Amino acid sequence: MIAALFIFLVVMAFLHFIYEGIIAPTLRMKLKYKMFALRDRLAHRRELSVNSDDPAFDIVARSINSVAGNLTRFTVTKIYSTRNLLRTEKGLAEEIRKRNQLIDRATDPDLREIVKLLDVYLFEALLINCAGFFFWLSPLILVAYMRHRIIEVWSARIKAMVRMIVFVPERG
Amino acid sequence: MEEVRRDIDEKKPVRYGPWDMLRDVLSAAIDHGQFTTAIVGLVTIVFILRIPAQELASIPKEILDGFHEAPFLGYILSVAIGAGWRIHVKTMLMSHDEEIRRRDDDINNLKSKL
Repeated sequence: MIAALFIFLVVMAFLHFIYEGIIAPTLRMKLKYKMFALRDRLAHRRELSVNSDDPAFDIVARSINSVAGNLTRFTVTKIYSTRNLLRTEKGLAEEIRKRNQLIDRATDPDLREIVKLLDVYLFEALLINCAGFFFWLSPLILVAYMRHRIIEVWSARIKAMVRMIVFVPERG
Repeated sequence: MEEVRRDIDEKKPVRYGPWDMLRDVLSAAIDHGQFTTAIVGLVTIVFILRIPAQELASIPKEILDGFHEAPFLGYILSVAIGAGWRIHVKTMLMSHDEEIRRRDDDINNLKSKL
């Protein structure tokens, strides 16, 4: 029992070492490249936009830079401590609210899309940072996927059978 | 963060006990998605501490004998490491090339507008 537990922990440590040391930095680098592309897209959009002096452009550009430089910092405990900080620091919360309002008021549809993509990339960064958790969730994910596949396949077959019954020609 | 630093009294010595250490380790484990592994590790440590010394000596032998009985694991691992290394390098180079190509295209587009 103890030997099995020990071997399991050694294997987990080895996998975690490989993930944190090799795979996660590569995934973060790919994400960083995506953010660079997003930043360039924002700059091009600003050049073409009629409202190029809209402060929302500056806010989003700074946010992209900040996110790209701090990808390793987006973790579960950081989100929790930020939430607690915003509860105590009313001024900071108000500033964030004002910035969000500025972005919401922005008329440029491309800017809104860029902000949406930034949210997606942030979520990706969070997933990359806590990917070890998915090892434990993998049996559940596998079961959910299999269940989905089974329902998909069997529902198609059942639907086909029902259709056959519905369109049976009447005798006599 | 500044607010937290202001709360700390400079004159008082900072107390950092084993519970604080455990809290920090578990927080880091949560950050890296390894909370469950950390709990399993703690349970293993507790188990090991409760085992009598005579029985404890047999555990390393049992583990090493286990490795001795499965030599094929080494071959599988070496192939997996080699393949993993190659796939990783290929992926890294591909994403780097993609980024360089994207920047080149951007520069060329800007030049064509001049």
